[in-house]
Formats: sequence, C-alpha cells, structure tokens
Amino acid sequence: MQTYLSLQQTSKNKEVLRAVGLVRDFGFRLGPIDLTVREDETVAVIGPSGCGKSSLLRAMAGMDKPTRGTVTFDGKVLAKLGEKKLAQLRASRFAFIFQDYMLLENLTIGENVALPASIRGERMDDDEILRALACVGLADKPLDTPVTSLSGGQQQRVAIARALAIGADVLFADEPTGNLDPKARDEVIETIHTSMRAGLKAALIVTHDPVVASSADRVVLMADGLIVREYGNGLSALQIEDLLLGGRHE
Amino acid sequence: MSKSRTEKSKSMGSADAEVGLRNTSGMVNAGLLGNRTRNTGRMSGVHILSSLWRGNRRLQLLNGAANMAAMTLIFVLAWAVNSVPGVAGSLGAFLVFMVVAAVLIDKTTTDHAFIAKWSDLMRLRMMGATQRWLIRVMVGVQLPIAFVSALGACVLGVPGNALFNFLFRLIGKDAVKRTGFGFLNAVWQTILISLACAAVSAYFSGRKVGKSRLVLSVVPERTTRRRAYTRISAIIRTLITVAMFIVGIGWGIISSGSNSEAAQMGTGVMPLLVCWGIARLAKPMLRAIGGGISKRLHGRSWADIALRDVTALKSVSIFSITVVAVAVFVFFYGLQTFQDHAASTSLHAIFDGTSVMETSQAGKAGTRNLRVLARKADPRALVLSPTTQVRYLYSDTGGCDKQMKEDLAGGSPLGEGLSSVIDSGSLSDFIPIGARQGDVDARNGVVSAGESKIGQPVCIAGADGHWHHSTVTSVIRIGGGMTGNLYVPRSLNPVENQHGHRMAIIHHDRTVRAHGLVSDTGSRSVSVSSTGDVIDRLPFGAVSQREFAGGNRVGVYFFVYPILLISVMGLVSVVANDAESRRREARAAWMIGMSERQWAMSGCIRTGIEVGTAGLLSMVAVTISANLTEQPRLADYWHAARVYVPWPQLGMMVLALLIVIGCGGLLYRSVYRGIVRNGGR
Repeated sequence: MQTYLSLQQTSKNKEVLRAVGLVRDFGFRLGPIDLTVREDETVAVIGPSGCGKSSLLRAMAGMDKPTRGTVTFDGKVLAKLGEKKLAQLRASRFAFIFQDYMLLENLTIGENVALPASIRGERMDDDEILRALACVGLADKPLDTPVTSLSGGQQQRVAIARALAIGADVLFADEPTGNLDPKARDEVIETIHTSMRAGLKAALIVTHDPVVASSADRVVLMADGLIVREYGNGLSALQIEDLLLGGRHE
Repeated sequence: MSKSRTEKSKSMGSADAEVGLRNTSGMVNAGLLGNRTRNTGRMSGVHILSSLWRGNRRLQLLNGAANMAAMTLIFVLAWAVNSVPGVAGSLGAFLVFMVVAAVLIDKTTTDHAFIAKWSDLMRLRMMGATQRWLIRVMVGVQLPIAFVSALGACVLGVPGNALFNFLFRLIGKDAVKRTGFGFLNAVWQTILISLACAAVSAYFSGRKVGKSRLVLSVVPERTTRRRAYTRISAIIRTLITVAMFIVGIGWGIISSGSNSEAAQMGTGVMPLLVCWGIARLAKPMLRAIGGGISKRLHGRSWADIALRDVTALKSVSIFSITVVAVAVFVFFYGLQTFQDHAASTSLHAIFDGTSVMETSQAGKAGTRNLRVLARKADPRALVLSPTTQVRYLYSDTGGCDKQMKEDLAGGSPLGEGLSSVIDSGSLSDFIPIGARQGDVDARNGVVSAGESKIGQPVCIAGADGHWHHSTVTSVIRIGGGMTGNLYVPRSLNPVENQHGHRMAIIHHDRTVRAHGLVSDTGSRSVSVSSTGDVIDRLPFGAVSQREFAGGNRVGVYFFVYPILLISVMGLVSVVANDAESRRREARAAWMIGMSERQWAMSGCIRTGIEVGTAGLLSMVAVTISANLTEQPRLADYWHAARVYVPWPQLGMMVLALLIVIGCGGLLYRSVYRGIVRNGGR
C-alpha cells in the first residue's frame, strides 16, 4: 500500500465554512463530523454511495438543519439564521451546481445567469452576464439561447457562470460531472478552478469521479456517515480510485 | 473577509485574461457581443415563475377553465342577488356555498399546478427565493389568470341566466328579473371573488413550497415541522374529527324532537363533517390500499410504476375533490330520494285499501278543490259533500253574540268558508298519527289546520241564524301551504244532524300551487316530490300534480350540479397536472419499452386509487350518516327503524368515478404520446 502525506491542519488561510460535531439523524445517521473549509480551498468529498456525502453538503450549505453540532459561515451559525437570512445567503453568498445542472429549462442562458439577481430584485446588465459566461468559455453563445439546446457540460458551465455572476463566496457542487463525458468533465474542472481565481472563496465538491477529486486542494474520504480520513492534494486520480475501491492510503 | 461585488467583478475580468479565454472580457467591454444579444436586464418574479409553463400553456388554460366554471356560476347567482331588492335569502346562501366551494377547488388546482413544477420551484429557492418572494410571485402569476377567467365567466354568465331562470321556474319561483345595475355589480363582485380565490390559493401554495425541505425531486408529505409535533397534532385532529362526527350525528338525531330548522342545520352540517373526516383519513387509508394493490400486482411494470412511491398521496388533492363531489351528490341527492321514498312508503301504507282524496281541479290543491273517492268498497270511506258557506269567528271571550257585535262594531272581518258533510268514514284514517294532536274524530268541535291550539274557543254562524260556541278539539299539521279549519259542529246544522252525519266546514285562505309541496309530519318537513301514482294523492293538501312532481329535486340541482361541475373541472385539471408532473417518469418508461396502453393503465391506477377510495368511502359514510340522521323522521311515519340505500345515486356515482379514472388514463396517454412523438424528450 502506498503511503501519502495526509493533510496537516497547517493552513493559515481564514476559515470560510466550519462544521463542529455535526450530526444529522434522519434514519441514516450522519456524523459526528468536524470539517473546515478555508479560503481559496477546494475540498472534494468522496466515498461510496450512501455514505452521507450529499447529506454533508446539504448540512454544510444550511439546506438541512443539523440534529446536533453547528455549521458556521463567516462566523455565523447557520442553524440560528432564519429562513429569510438563509435565502439571502443562497442568493448572494452560496452557489450550487448539481448533477442535473440546477438550471430552469424554460429560461434562456442569459435569464438563468441573471436569475439570482432577479430574485434579489436587482438588475444585471448583459455585459455582466457575458463576462460571467466568458469566464466559463461560453462567451460565443447568444444570451437568448435556450439552455436545453446546450450539451450537458455547457449547461453545467452556465450553472457555474451563474455562481460567478452573483459573486458567490462558496460553491457547493454535488456530482457536478456525473452526467458528463471526460472532455466536458475536464472543462468543468478547469472552469471551477478558473472561478476560484475569479472570485469564489471556496468550493465543496461531492464527487465519485477520481479526476475531479484529484484536482481539489483537499480530499475528504467518508464512510458510513463519518469522515474516515482527509488527504492533501498529493493524491492522483488512480490513488483516489483505489481509495474508492476500498484501499487505504496513509 | 468577503470581497465586494466590484472587486469580484474585477477579479473575474483578470481571471479571463489569466486563462486566456478568447479575450472575451475585452470583447464585452468593447461592446462587440452586444449585437448578438437582447437585454436580459432584470426579470420580474412573475416573469420567472410564468416561464415554468413556457411551451406548455395548456395546463394554465385548464386551471383557468376550472376557475371560469366556478366563477360563471358565481356570476349568475351574484347577478340575481344584486337584482333582487332587500335580502336575497336562499340565493345569497347559494352564493356563499358556491364561493366556499370555488375557493376549495381553486386552492386544490393551484396547489397541484405548482406541485407539478416542484423541482423548478426548489431550484428557485436554492437561488435565494424566500417564502415571501414565492408567495408574492405565485399570487402575481395567478391573478391575471383569475382576472381573465372572471371576465370569461361574466361573458358565459349572460346566456347562463336563461338556464338559471328555467330552473327557477321549475321550482315554482318567479324568474328573477335582472337589472343592468345588478349586472355591473355582479361583474365586479365576480372579478373580486375570483381574484380573492386566486390570491388565497396561491398564498397557501406558496407557503407550502416555502416551508418545505429543500429537496429537488421529492415533494415532502409534510413540511419541516418536528415529528413529535406532527404526531401530537395528528392525535388532536383525530380527536376533533371524532368529536365533530358525534356532535353532527347527535345533532341530527336529537333535533328530531325539536324544530325542523335545527334538524335541517344538522343535516346540512353532515356532508361537511363527512368530507372533513374522510379527508383526514386519506393518507393512511391510501397508503394501506396502495400497498395492498402493489403486493397483488407486483411484477407488472405499469402497476409498479403507478404505485412505486407515495407521490400520488402527496397532496391528496384528487382525493379531496372527489370526496366533496361524491359527498354532496350522494348526500343531497340521495337524501332527497330517501325522503321521497319515506313519504311514498308512508302514503302507500295509508292508502292501502282505504279511500283517497284527490284534487278536483288541476294545478290547485286547496281544500276547496279536494274530493274524496272510495277506491273500492271501503266501510271506512270518508266522503265529503260540499254544502253551504258559513261564517266563523275566532277568539270568543264572552259569548258569541256579544263577541260578534263587538267585532263587527270594531270592523273585524268575519271568516268565511265552504262547509262539507262527512258522509261516512273517519278523518283519523286519512291523517298520519304524527300529524295530528287531539281527537280528530270528535263529534263536536273544530279540527284546525292553522295556528290554533286545542281548547281555543271559536264562534260559528249556524244555519239557524245564531252564533254558536265551539272549541278546537284537534290540531293537524298538514303541509303544502294548506291552512284552514275543518269545523265539525254536530249540533249546528239540524238538517245534517237529522241524518246523523257529521258536518265538515272547510275553510281555505288561499289556493296553493300544486308543486314543490311539503308534507309536515310530526315536527319534520318531508319532501314529497317523487313522481308516482301515490304522491299526487296526498291527504290534506300535500298534493302534487304529476307534471310538476320533482320540484324540490330541481332545488337540489342548484346545490348538487354546480358543485359537481366545479369538481369535475378541478379533477381534470389536477389529474392533468399530475400526468404532466410525471413526464420524467414517462420518458424513463418509454426508454424501457413500456407501451402507451401500459402507461395509460398506470395513470388509471394512480387516479383510481385516490378517486376510487375517496368515492367509496364517501358513499358508505354519507349513506350511514343519512340513515342515522333520518331515522327520527322515519320513526314519525312508521314507528320503526328503516334502512335506506340510494342505489340509483350510488350506481350513478360509481359510473362517474369510472369515467374519471378513464379520463386519468387518457390524460396520461396524451402526455406519453407527446413524448413518443418527440423521440423521448
């Protein structure tokens, strides 16, 4: 068994998102989990199906309230925020990309990107929308293109562009490349990293894809609702695949 | 900690440069891309939400049509109410009833329309839509639909008035003369009611969406309240339901001995209680039935798909609408025939082998026009022979002559009426026991059908030119608007007395229209609107002409059929939304090679579980409750408990439910065909 350097909590970067003693009990028990996501950090959560990855993401994003423990963002405990405050967070600080793209199929590309701003009651110029789309490599698409005419990878990139357009701090991605071919997957990975440079503070990515996980700054391995191990960015895709197949790397 | 929006925007630009993304930032800044785009700007919430139905406006049209059906009826009633000066009485009650029904159905269809777009609504929530925002935009989307459908209802309502007047004439009321002022009032009232219905419905739907757990694909059965709280509230609700049932049924039973209004109210409350109670039982009941069917049909793909999850039970909308429709239909319509049946049976018993009274003049049923016939040799036959006209006076306080002088001096009018001779037979053979007090066969005295009391003194002008004192010996409650008195003063007419006949002097205040009559038996009103050989030969004025029989039933139409119409529109709308919301599953079914017929069958099962369960439960429940509340009336007639099952109504309802289930299959098939046509998209 190969040995790799496990992650040391030596990062000096500021905490963006932090879970302490997080437990979510809904038949299946998640936790207790302690997890910190720092500024400029991309964290990939991997593990077998049903181990609680998506539940962790939902709890970290404030979509589900923990049974015990806390999740703090920007120093604020999410469970203590009202629904309105949480909605404001989702509208301006958090962004989501899921396997099914999280787009409204009946809206155009431009409308989808401008959607969060519209919900907030703000106006978004076409220039801003185009700039966001340019960041994800879709500048050549007219804004009134129906999203259903785009490929899966392109739709996912529109979702990322939307995150950039609202100036989100944290990107929550649940199997963002689950529906994509390797080329589109690589584009999405590149786009996420570009977005990190373009303004995102952190990203929490739940994935089964070793390539996606290997591109993260940190990899968190889960099993049976618990974090089994955390790894630094030294893992290759093959090693992560090995982990997913049941291997263990120290 | 967080960067400002401007900073981020800048860094976004630098990121473009850094990764060399085709220098698009520069292109944007130079405006080179502007000519290929339209100005997206800021979309309104209504625009965003309305876009969910882009490319498929049929469902919105269907919802609008369901609303229009309800509003048309409301408009017709509102126009009539506004045209009648003063209190509009029963019309106003109809209007209130219709408005309540419209709100309930509107709420259900709206709920289902939005639930069909559940995952999109959840996406909006993930992007920051608050509950308040959702409610606001849902109201914003629904209001224009409500406004347009209200206008359409006003247009449809104009010809609808002809039908209204026709029905009104059938139940013996004068057609309401509608005024232009009433029309204008009705228009704005209908629009207002329609908008209010839409706003209330959208509010509750928005609340439901806003409070639910943020899950994209699964509509939760309940919101995010704690389980313990839900359990406690379920127990409390069950207790309240049981208590209300007991109170409602008890009211109907206990009030039999008191006035008929209380009994009517008790009867009216029953359908509401039944609906509420059955709706509360819906979820566990459907789950159990769904599970049972699933076990039996396990392995058949169309059944597995239909019953795979509990989404059919998620809102229980179809169930609720069906309960309302069936309960209203079976209870009101069934009860009507129940009462007719009771009256018919009672009269059969009375007439069996005895003489009967009939109207002697078509269309009129005053005592003036009654005649008595012996159907066959009948030793007890009552024979009335018209004799002279007599005068009478109530309220004797001193002696009849003195009273007569005082009243004539005071200008009090004398009563006057025809007299009849009872040649043979006995009044007690013709008047049901429950309808009489005192001795109707007294040899001397007055049998009163008015407001008199037993023992009340009466002065009667005798053939000898003197006023004679008599008293009320019996009071009978005869229906059909029959008021008057049978004077049986044996000693007043020496001629008749010499022959040993009793004399009956029949007085009538007015003639009575011979339709829509009610026979008052005991303290309860019993409708006698059924056709048949017997019904038009009721004793003592409860007489109906054959051609007008069913007048009361027409009154029931006012309640039953509008509710049914609204319910059907609501059901079609809800099932269509359900079929639409399962488009993704339909695509999957197409991919695995399921046939159109199988998918339609899945739709039938899905609709059938809710519709069938709701229908059968309602039919059983309302039949039991009707029997329970009607027993006191039956006891008045028969002095015994009877059971009645309105088989024709139940059969008709089962047929209607089967049609609805078939419609469910057709709607599912329609969606599936679209998917097949578009190659699985």
